[in-house]
Amino acid sequence: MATIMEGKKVVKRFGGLVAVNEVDFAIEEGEVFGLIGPNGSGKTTLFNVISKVYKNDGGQVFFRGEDITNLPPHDIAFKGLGRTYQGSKVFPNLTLMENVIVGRHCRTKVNLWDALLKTGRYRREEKASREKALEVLELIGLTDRKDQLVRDLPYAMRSIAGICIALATEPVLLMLDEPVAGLNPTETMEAMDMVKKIRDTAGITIFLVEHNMRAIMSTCERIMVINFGQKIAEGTPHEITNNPQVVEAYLGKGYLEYEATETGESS
Amino acid sequence: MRILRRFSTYLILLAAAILVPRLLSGITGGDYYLHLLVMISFWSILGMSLNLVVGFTGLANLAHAGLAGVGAYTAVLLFMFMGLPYWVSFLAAGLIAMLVGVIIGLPTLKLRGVYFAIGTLAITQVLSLIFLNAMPGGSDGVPDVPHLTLWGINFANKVNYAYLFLFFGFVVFIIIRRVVNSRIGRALVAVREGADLAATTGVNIVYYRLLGFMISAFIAGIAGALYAPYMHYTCPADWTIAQLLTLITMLAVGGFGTLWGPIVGAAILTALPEILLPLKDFIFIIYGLILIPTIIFAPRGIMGAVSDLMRRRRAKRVEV
Amino acid sequence: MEFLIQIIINGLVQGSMIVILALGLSMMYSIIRMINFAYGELYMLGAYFTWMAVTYITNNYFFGIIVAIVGGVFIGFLVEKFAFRPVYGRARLNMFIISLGLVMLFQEGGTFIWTGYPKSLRTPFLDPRRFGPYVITDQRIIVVVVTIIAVVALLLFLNRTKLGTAMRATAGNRLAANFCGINVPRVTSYAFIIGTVIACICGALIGPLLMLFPLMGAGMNIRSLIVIVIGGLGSIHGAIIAGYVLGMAESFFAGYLWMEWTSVVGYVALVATLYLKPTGLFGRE
Repeated sequence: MATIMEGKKVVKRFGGLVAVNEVDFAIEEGEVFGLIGPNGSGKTTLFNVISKVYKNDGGQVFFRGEDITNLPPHDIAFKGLGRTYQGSKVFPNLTLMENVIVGRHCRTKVNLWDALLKTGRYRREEKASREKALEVLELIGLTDRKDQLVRDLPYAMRSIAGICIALATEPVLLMLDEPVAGLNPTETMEAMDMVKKIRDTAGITIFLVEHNMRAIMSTCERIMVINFGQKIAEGTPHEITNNPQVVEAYLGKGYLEYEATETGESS
Repeated sequence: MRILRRFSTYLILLAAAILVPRLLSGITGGDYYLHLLVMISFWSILGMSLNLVVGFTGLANLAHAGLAGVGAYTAVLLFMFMGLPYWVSFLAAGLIAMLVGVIIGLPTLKLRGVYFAIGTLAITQVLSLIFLNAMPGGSDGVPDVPHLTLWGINFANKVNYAYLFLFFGFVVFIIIRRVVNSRIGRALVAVREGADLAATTGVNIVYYRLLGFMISAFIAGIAGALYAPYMHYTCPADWTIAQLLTLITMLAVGGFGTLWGPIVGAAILTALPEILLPLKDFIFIIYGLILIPTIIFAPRGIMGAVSDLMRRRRAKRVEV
Repeated sequence: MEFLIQIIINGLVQGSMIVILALGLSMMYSIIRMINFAYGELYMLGAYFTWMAVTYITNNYFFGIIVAIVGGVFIGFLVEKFAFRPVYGRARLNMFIISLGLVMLFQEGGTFIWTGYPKSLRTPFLDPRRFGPYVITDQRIIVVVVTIIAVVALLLFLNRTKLGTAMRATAGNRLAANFCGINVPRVTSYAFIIGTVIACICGALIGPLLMLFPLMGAGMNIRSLIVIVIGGLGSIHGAIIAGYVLGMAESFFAGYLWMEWTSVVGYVALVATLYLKPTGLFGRE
């Protein structure tokens, strides 16, 4: 499998604070890759640096072999890198259909003259955009809601709508920012099943950052753990849960010592 | 059959636009109504262009009246003082206004809402200063701006002006409609609804804000260039915050971010001072009393409420 | 040399006028998180309230100031409750447009009630006083003194009193303030009223120095806005410094360069700030 995204010694500073400290990582094509870490670990910052929302203060990020370190945020979609924002970020006063069509922006070329003169390109792309948007909605199963205002949709559905928008950009790698934040356990499982379905049917690589352990462990094939801006572990879910450093990061040294004494006593 | 239905509204309007001025010119006192027609078209043009930036892109642009003034003064300078043919002055007015728009826009469009508002407010004041101190006529303005002669037609009568303004109103409406119903319009709305999210779909936020601003400025310049010859003069007081506030009220009543809103708003607010004749000198009190409750109780305006209703009916049909 | 010192004195006075008005606007901004574009009109109302009291009731300037304060409380309460509070939850553009509506209402309303003809507000402090070659009127000295008192009083109030602290808390985070037991609507109302009263007092004090006319608020308003942005939104200290700097700069510009273009100083400074450091000198956002 080819490496689709690579980060080399990525650094991000906020004033004097080093939020991301020389992190290396590599994501393989077609996998579901997770990024976790305790609160304040810098995982969201790293996520934002990779998707170009923040500028690098050091290091490089490569996507499909190309150096995207200095790209402005609006260019990543053209390269095939899609992302969602946590908190069900969508375009609230538009319908679901209109929301998804916005996603087609990077795959269409109509400019001012095309629009004013209603050229052939305009007509073709309008039709194609609607069709593609409907395709996305069908894949996700939200076609019957397409004419509803997205702000009227239930919270869980809004989260999914955000993913639809990103899917409309025809991404090769989809970055999901805490996709199940605020969802109840049932909704969480449905959402994660959908994420897997997206990878299985469309072959899109998934890179997600999450807090919800069950969601991450059940869906990701490889996981990277960050704490205090540095990578402390990387591997399969099984390897991660058994990694003492990871346990310490989340539960503290005291827990490890407690565990040691417990196992010591029982054996 | 469906094509006929879609165009029927426009055909009716077109027919009305052709017949009404003719009819009005025949009746006594028709000039007064023709003037109203011209004013409604003028405010509609300004309103539609401002709507592109405020309603569709969500920016608090206070410089619009000043930009129209740039168009007016440019046209007057070129047409009256330099003797250039009118259509050249007219185009130049639009282009210069657009240029000024770019100069204003580049530094201010990166700013957040309230800073942008203050920046554009300052621009209006600076433009006013320039009109007062660096333009012919000073505070009294430029008198006796000659009437247009375009393609041999002399515009010294109101009917021809009415046709001219209606024509441009129609053209501007088509322009705005085509922009809004395209990838560009969607980008503008996306920037309004969620700029960061829009960026993830490839929308260059600054570029699109600037584009909307430029189109809006160009149209404003053209409107100003039409207004000066019609009114036979122009002065700095024509292009101040007062005009902008009138525009905002029109947009609020008609509906921000709708296609017909600016026209509806222009019609209502132009007719109102004529109906409430004794209050005409203090019409801004009425405008204020209309604007505040409209924003509080009906923020979507008339056409906004209409389109909400239509969409709800469409969605219901699907659910059933 | 004497000219220079006169310029500096004028700059101090000009700066004080700008600062004291900007303080009220800054307070209002912090609490409702939106620039109230109708702020200049509140200043205008204060001046006219004073004028009406002095002209129709009793020719006592101090009584006039009291009337201005009372009027300010009244107007501030009404405006906050009926114009702004209904739209707190919505996008800030709503509040902005409402404040534009208030501008129309007050400006034209003022013209309706008091006509557009300038009026003069006479006070016992308008006679010029000479300090050697320098001239200044007592009224201007009062403005400077009141500004200094107001700055100190405001800072003390915000930092040392319970209500002031509650206001700072609400300005920082409304929701959290609510959870702390602060009565957010009432605190907001008080902050708004204080801002309005400051504007009205300014009108009462500064009005006599210029003529009263219904549009007098516009020029002062723009200066307050500029100063708040340059100083940094949400920063009282920034507004004070920026205000005095602007006052001084305008005085120098008017004295040594072209007087008609004086306002350009403010706009240039504003554009420079927006371009170079949009958050202002001490901006917290």
